[in-house]
Amino acid sequence: MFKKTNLLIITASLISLGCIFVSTQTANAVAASEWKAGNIIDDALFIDANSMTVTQIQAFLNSKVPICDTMGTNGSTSTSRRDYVRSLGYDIPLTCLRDFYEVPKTVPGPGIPANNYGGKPIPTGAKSAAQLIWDAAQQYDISPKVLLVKLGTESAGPLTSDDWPLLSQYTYAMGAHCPDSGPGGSANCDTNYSGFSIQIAEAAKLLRGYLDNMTQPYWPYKKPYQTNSIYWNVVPSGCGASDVFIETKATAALYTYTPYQPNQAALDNMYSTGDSCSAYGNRNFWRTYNDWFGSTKFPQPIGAMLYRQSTNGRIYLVADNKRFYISSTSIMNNYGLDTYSAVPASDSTIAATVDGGTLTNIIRDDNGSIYLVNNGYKYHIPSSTVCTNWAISCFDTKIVRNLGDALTNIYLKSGADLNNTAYYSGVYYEMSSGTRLPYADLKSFTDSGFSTSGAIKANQININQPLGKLQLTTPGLVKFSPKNTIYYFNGTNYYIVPSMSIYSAWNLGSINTINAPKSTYNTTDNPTVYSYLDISYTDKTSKSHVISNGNNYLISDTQATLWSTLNYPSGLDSLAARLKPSTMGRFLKNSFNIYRLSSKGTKDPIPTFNDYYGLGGNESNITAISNQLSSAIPTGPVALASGQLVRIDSTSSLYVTNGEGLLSIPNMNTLRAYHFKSAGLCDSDLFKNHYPISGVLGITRNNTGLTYIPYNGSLISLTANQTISFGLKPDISPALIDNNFIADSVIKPASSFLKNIDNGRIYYASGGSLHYVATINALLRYGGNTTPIIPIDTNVLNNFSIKQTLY
Amino acid sequence: MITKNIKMPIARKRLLIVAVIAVVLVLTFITLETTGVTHILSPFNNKNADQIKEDETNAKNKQDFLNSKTNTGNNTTTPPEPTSDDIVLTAHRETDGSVTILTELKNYSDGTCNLTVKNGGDNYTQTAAVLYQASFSTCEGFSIPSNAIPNGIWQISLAITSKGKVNHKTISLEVQ
Repeated sequence: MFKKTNLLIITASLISLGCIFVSTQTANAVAASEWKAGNIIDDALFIDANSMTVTQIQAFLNSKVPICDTMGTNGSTSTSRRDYVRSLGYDIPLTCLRDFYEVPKTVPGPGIPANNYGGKPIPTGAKSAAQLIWDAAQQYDISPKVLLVKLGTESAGPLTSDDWPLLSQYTYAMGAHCPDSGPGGSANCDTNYSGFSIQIAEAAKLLRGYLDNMTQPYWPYKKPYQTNSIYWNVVPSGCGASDVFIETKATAALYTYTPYQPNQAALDNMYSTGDSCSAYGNRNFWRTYNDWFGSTKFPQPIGAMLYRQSTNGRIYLVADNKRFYISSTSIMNNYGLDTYSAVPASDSTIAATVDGGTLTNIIRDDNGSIYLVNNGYKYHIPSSTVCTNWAISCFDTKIVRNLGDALTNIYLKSGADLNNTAYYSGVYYEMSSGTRLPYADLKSFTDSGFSTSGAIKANQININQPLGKLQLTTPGLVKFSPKNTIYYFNGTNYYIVPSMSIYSAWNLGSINTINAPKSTYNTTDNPTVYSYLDISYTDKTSKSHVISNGNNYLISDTQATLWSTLNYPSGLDSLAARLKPSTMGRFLKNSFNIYRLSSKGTKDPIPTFNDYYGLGGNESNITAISNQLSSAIPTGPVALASGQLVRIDSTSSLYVTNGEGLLSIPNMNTLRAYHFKSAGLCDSDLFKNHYPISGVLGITRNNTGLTYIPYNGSLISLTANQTISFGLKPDISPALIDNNFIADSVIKPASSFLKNIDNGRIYYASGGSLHYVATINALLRYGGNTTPIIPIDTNVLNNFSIKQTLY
Repeated sequence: MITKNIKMPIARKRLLIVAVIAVVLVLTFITLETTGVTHILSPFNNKNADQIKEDETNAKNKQDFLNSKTNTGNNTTTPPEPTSDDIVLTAHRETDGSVTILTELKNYSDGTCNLTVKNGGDNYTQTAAVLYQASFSTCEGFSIPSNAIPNGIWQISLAITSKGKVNHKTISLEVQ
């Protein structure tokens, strides 16, 4: 309980302390450096008629003069105010502004209206000073704060803080209708406007009149939104003037009301006097407003006001006395209006403006030029073609707005002439016939002859044209989500990538992937496809290539023709250039088999490694190809090395391979002569279809012209000349073999003498036939004693022509 | 053995806290008042240098005003009565073809402007109020649309009525 009580005491104390500090949070004094001659006060504050109620005005006056020295008892020790007042011909009591009432003078005329000054009773129909100020503010849409400040700066005393004012101080309190026609430019007041009430009302009326007329061409005074020459003091002072760009209408109104600006001396002595050229009216207005009511800043767009209709929250841009309904935050943002606070406005304030329709992005100036408004800039639309391309209704009066000269030419910054390009959210677009064509990337955009600096950075609200096709010049892979198709684009044409195997074959994972912006390709449209990408292509010299495992193989026309399941699109040279140029070997291998690449272009399966090596295969001439490429190459006959003994389908028939055919083996002697190795078992279909039986193994001949004659476990070789001299019968056609065929055979050179082992007869080969050597003499005569005599059986001997007998 | 309770009575302790806080509040308040930050008790007795300067300037201005016999309520001098010479009338053609009439009215506090533009039998009239300004007043707006004054030489006449008197000014304008 004790602690709770203490806590309460401390809390209450802190709150009290806080209240003291809070009560000190009034407006701060201003510094000379803060003075801005072109913006004394912002328009929104200047015309805020509802900124104070009558009660608040009265409270304000009370606060400025808490105690009125009604009887003039204060003053210097030598002279009391009362005595001084009486010395001037007046009398006490004195009436301060806070207590002053006057019957409103609504029509100019001589005389001061009835009032309660000097302790008189309040006349019938009289209104308090606070009420008169509020009424004038309401009637002319001028802030009562402005009127109070004007009163505080124009009146002697000034009335707002004077605790012993004389009636004369009320008479021309606002200096309204007091032209500078007196001596030396001094004020010379029109008596028809004497009286506090008409002074207040006329001041408000004049300020309103200035505001409403100042943008008209006939206006001869200070003009907003342009540079004005403003004097430092009255012209006769000879102090001169300086140029000031007036940013607000309120500032122009103040300079019209009091056409002088403070010089540096006046600003350096903010609360007193400067030098002989100093004028103080506008300085004092600015200083006093800041001191009393806080900042004079409530920025509004030049040439316009942003209003929020209090009853329904609608936002209007009021420019050139026309109100334009702001239908979205987007349009507000586009005009750069979102940085401004809207001024609360009554229904009557809104109704007092002309309905200009809904604010749009298309405006025209007084000369009829049409502009697109974009992010606070206006872009001149140079032709109807541009209108069409941007899908802008340039000539539709229901769309195009005239916002007045100031907003159009000063608030809105000037961009270049609108061209057909735009940049939005990271994407460059070309506007074409009302369609927005997205460019895939910067390169594509510049390749098309466009300049990035020429493309306006479009506000979202100006990018509502229907999308068109993607514009692309950069080669690469592209996909249009949510569609799954992947395309390769070569800079001109699109190729569909039909499968991941094609993707892999071309190693497409390593090429540029285009992050394409949205286009109709993502929705209703598809790019025009030049071709499907394949593992093959035709280069720019019309040569055909195949792609496999990152290699690029130039193939022959024969192969290209035979490998007809492949597509050979053109335009892929650049893509293929990334791959390794390679030459296909005589042998191929895929994941499953080894093949011989035949001269016809087929891939001939090689059943065994013996065949492979027998056919000349080795590591240097075999090419690993993808299964995909392999499947595109037609399969040819089985490739068997020469001299391979085979047995078909478990039959007892033996054959020996010889190039692309088989030779049947007639007997075991022949078999023994050629020394073939063990027989492999082969599929009969393979042979039936691709490997025909081409003959019977017997006499053979290789490609060097040696003829081999099988005999008794070895081969007798005959040179070409020997073959001629031996007289091989014309109907004997030796099977052509290669060296592999006889790789394991025992070769014996032939001699001119042969001996039939069946009957012992000796034959001499000469002149294209064999000659029976019948006698010893004949044998010796033809050199039989120095030449080997080759034994041979009758079957072999029958292959030769036997003619005359030698004796 | 009897142990003496040495704790301070609760009431006395509370009183001490209140006293300390009160002293702090008073000192703070006095500080703010004397430095011119607040003006709760004596708003005019403790002023900062700026306010003192402002008061001095105001007092001087008031003194000057009271010493002046020209602008007191009982001793006013009305501005000189305007004449035709006080009317400066100029016209120029805008780029859109319209004609703007510029007026500078010396010694006019209020009144009505009547504009007449004549070319033979054709004429065009407009009326506007005098808008007061301290240096010179002006007519509250004359802008003649281009279709109202075709090419030719036009007589532009301005009649200012103020305080029951009328002054005239006429100029010629050739519209091409």
